[in-house]
Amino acid sequence: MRRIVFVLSGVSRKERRIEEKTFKFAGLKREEIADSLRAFAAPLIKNGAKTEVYYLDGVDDETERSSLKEGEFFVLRRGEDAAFEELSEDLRRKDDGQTVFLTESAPCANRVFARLAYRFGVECVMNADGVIEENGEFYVVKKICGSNIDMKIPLGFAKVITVAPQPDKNVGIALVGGLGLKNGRNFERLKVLAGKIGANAWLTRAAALEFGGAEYIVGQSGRVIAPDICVILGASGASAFMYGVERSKKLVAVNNDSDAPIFKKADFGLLADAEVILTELEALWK
Amino acid sequence: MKIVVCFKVVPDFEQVLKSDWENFSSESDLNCAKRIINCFDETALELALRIKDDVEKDGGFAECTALTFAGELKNVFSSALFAAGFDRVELIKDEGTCAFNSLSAAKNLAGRIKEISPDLVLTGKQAGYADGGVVPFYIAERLKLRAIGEAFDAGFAEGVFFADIREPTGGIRRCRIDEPAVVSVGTGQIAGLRITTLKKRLATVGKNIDIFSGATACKTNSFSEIKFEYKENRRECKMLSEISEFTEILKGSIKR
Repeated sequence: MRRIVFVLSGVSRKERRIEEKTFKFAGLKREEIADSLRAFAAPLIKNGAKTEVYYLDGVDDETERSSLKEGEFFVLRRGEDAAFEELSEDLRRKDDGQTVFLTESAPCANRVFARLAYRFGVECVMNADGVIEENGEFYVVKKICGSNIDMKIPLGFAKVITVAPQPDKNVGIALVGGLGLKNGRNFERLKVLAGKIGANAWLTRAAALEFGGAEYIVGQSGRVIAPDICVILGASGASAFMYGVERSKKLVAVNNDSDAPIFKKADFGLLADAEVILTELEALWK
Repeated sequence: MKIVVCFKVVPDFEQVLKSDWENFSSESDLNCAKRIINCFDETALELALRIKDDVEKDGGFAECTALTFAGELKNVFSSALFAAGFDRVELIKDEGTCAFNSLSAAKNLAGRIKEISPDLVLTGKQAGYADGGVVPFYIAERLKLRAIGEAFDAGFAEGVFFADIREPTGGIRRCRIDEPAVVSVGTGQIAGLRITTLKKRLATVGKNIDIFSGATACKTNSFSEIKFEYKENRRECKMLSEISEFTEILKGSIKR
């Protein structure tokens, strides 16, 4: 019988209570990560796979240990290397050839899982999007080649998997600026406008490299968002960028190039200069 | 001091035709598309040169090697790297089809890196067809080196290397690197490799790539079982003729 091991990094409830006073967590809550992994593995669980959970923690909290249920394990994180050695040995003992190891893609988790895969002598499937069943066989799906191709890996070859984070669904409106915004000052204006209408402002990777603000990147190398409406100002619509916004319910593109690929990927298009439209929007929401 | 940067030349995916995507397989040859250095590797290459500049300002010397594992490396790339300031450009020849075999790529790169014995290894976050981002960590695990991921900046200050990474919770953490390490470079503030003058490029005539044989034969093995599917992500785009139509759509969303 197939077994799925969820490895949850993040912080313990005790650390979170301390840090919530001073920091805003962005998706590190273990319960949310566990839900995300369960959703990913749903076809396998429906097919009868059993699950186990490994918690990687930084605090030796007896309350946490004593609250563990059957099939849950606790790995003390004295430091990443020490935790990795303990986890690696435990998982190697548990591996019966039918076991699949899952975690959510994140900087620390990716490092640990890549090393784990190396020790198992298998490839690590990084940033997988889902599991599908075709003709009785299960495949792990991930986007490759700048998000142009769906790669389907037979489950037998996908043993160590990091799951692409779920898109940020908490935002109703997103305003995304591309190189058509022309400069960083216009991005600052976009951020102010976003604040007035209750939206979040983002950048394409090309624009972020030009204007600064790598933390605002949306796309394959940044955040994935799924707002109700995503307004894209002055971006051409490269595949790697579209990976970050294609889950939006409605896409509205503004570009002054009628041949821009974005007009084949959006619901509404406006042939106009992004900076001009930004000025119009600012006038409406003074 | 020795610095090695692992880089990869990849097709510019935006230039690939729809017909090539529709027929994509593990043995697809996308050489018809324009070739570029993978964007994250470009940032890593430029960071290495900036570190070299900092080391030399401090009175030291840093030898920078640009290393790739591929079937070939065109002169246009090697001359650009020499002109930019790299001391050596090395190619480990991939005789087989290794497009989806990150383990083999890592083993080959690690073999040469071990011979060079550098103080710092920089790589781009991800490259190649499969966008895996695993090769830097495989190299680190194979060579038992420290691995640092998602670095957006790296440098040399007060006698040691450092790498800056963004924490998921926000904020920046500076990692001191006082032992050999592999740093995987993500999206940084540097757009790409420095632009070089024609004079510098002409000065590279006669500089050759050092070519090494791949240590591990690479064949399409389990990857022949993998399926590929091209799904064109199209929506039916309605072109708006007036700005007022656009603002009405936006206002409607804000009200909700």
